Amino acid sequence: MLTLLSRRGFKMLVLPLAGFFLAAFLHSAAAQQESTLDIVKKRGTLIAGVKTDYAPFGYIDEKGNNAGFDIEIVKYIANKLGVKVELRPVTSGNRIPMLQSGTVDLLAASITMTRERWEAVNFSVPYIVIGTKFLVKKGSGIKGYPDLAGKVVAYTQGTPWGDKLTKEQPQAKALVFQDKPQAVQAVIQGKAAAYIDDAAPLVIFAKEHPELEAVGDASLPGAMGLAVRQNDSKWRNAINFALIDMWKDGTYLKLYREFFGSDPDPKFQIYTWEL
Amino acid sequence: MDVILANLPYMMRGLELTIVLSIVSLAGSFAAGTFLALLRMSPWWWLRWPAIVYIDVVRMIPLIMVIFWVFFLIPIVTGHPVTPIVAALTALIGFNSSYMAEVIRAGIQTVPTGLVEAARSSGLSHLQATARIVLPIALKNMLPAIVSRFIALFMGTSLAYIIGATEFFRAANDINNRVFRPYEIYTFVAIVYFVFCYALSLIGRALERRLSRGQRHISGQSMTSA
Amino acid sequence: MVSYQFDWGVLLQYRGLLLEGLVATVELVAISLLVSLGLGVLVGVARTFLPPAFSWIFGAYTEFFRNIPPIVQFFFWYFAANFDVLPAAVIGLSVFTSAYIAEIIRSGIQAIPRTQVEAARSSGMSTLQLIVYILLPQALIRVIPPLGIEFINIVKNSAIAMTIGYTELTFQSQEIEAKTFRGFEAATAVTVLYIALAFAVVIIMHGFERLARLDIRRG
Repeated sequence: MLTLLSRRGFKMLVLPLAGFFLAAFLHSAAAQQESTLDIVKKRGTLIAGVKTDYAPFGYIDEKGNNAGFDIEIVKYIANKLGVKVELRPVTSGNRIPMLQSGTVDLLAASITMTRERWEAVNFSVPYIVIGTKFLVKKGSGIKGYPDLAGKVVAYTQGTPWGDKLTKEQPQAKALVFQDKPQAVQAVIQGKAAAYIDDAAPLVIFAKEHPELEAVGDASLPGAMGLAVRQNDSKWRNAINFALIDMWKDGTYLKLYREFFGSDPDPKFQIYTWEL
Repeated sequence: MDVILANLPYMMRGLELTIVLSIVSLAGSFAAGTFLALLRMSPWWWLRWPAIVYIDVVRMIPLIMVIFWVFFLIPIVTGHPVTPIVAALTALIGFNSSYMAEVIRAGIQTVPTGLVEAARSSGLSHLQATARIVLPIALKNMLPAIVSRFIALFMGTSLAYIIGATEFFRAANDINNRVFRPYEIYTFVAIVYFVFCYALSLIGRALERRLSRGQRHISGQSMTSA
Repeated sequence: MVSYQFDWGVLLQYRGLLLEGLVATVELVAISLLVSLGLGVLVGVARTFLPPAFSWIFGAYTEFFRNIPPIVQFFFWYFAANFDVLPAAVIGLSVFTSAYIAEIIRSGIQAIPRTQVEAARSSGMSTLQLIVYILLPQALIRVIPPLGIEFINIVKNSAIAMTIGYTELTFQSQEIEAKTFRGFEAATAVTVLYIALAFAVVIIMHGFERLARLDIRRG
């Protein structure tokens, strides 16, 4: 190992690395010009990144197939475009790199739109609004951020709740997990007073564990969007027009009722851009 | 206990993947390690130094970091998707080949040069001498260290958890995420890993003892790390 | 294949996170280093000097904790035994490493010529004095190289603590990735830092060895 400390060693380390970075930089400078729409039509297949562990957006059903609200939307879009569908599993951690690197054409992976995320990718029009809640022990009396002063709050790495917590309740201490159920376990074990996440999974967790309940509103209502790469209006238009068609012909309402068991928020609609 | 029994099939499938990952990584890193070792021993500095850099630097990085690296890098470089299993294999092979290169190099270099000279002087060509005399002896010498690296690989597969490969540890975690019985499940997981790795280490030690009767060998001692 | 625009500026923007991670890593490594060395010496010495009826349990300790992956040990102490993050990380890391250090110490002691043991005993030293004043100092100096390797392993295995929520370097690399989606840049920065830490350990151990050689003649 000490051989590396010699001058020759550093030269051998630095030169190839510099060469690699130069090549990567030059490669990234030659940007891709063709629209994803043309690529997808030529290929004949739409490759979409979806979740596999997040019911009812994207999960694996008893037969082992991809299922969920997001999956059905992708299938509708592919149908409209006249192409086949290929679904790739993604996680909250790798979904954006998968899109940016060209591994997938579209992300239908329950992504909440935030300004930060808009700087990395582009989104379709909102396709669903969601709320967020706190998962707490029943009887804890916690209703919102003021009640969390001096307490421990759990969330999963990659979600925006860390920053939100620092803003709303700087007196709380954060506990960060890799999996959602680990955060739930933390609340059950008393390691955390609350777990912040989207309402959908928290409600399901509260149902599975009667000693817990999902309360309050952890943030302003958020909207989710389908993610596409930046600087690709042709592709984004195709996605948006397909979503609008889905809203117009009633498929959206049908799918929402099927996967969420209720009607969508009456204040939500996909504007059709027709006068 | 019943939690474990009820979910045993799922966890056993995970264990299957663990074993497959370990064996394939061992084979792959042996091949890559041989290549690296040859580069390391080559007389030309422009072949030798990249190998030295790779071997020395990779061992200073945590394996979990290598796994993250591979997961980010492959899609960017190749533009192709990478499944967790492929990423895990690439990471394990890339990481372990640096250790294997050192094991192989040591194995070849501890073959007494007297043997090589004797072989050459009795008429064997350099290639024949290497293939028929040096390599078999080197391989036998390396066996305990190779077993040691296999144990490290077997334990290393547990880190593929972080990118979603459903090996044994991830499988057990999936179960725990549903049933919430960490005591039973993680104790079970610990015992299973212990049984496998301890058995392997006993094999390694038996090999060391048989080899140390009169022959030199490389101890696998300091080679275990992830 | 679509282009990937590199943006190294995020490293500057998030240098606070990187620093936090570095401090957390160094903290965990420093504490675990001391604890695992202490535990390792204890177990190694016990295994060498206790009669087999008692030493077997220390042997079992060594075999058990060497052959279980560190991530499993971390998860056990944090999720099953329910310790807090840092204690669980320290216990997991120290116990795992001490099992390796115990073996290193044992072989270090056994490499000392028996003549010294006999000389010490015949001059009336108790076993404890023998161990502390004669054997341990020599053994520790002899095994500085393999100990150095184990200490680097502590640095590497500390990365695994991110899975139980310890906000060390690898964790921060994923934080930066989550906020900026610049996984490549974040991984590069963190890798460089780990290499720097490993070099630091090598240099420090090398320094120890040269120091030790000055005041004890080695034949």
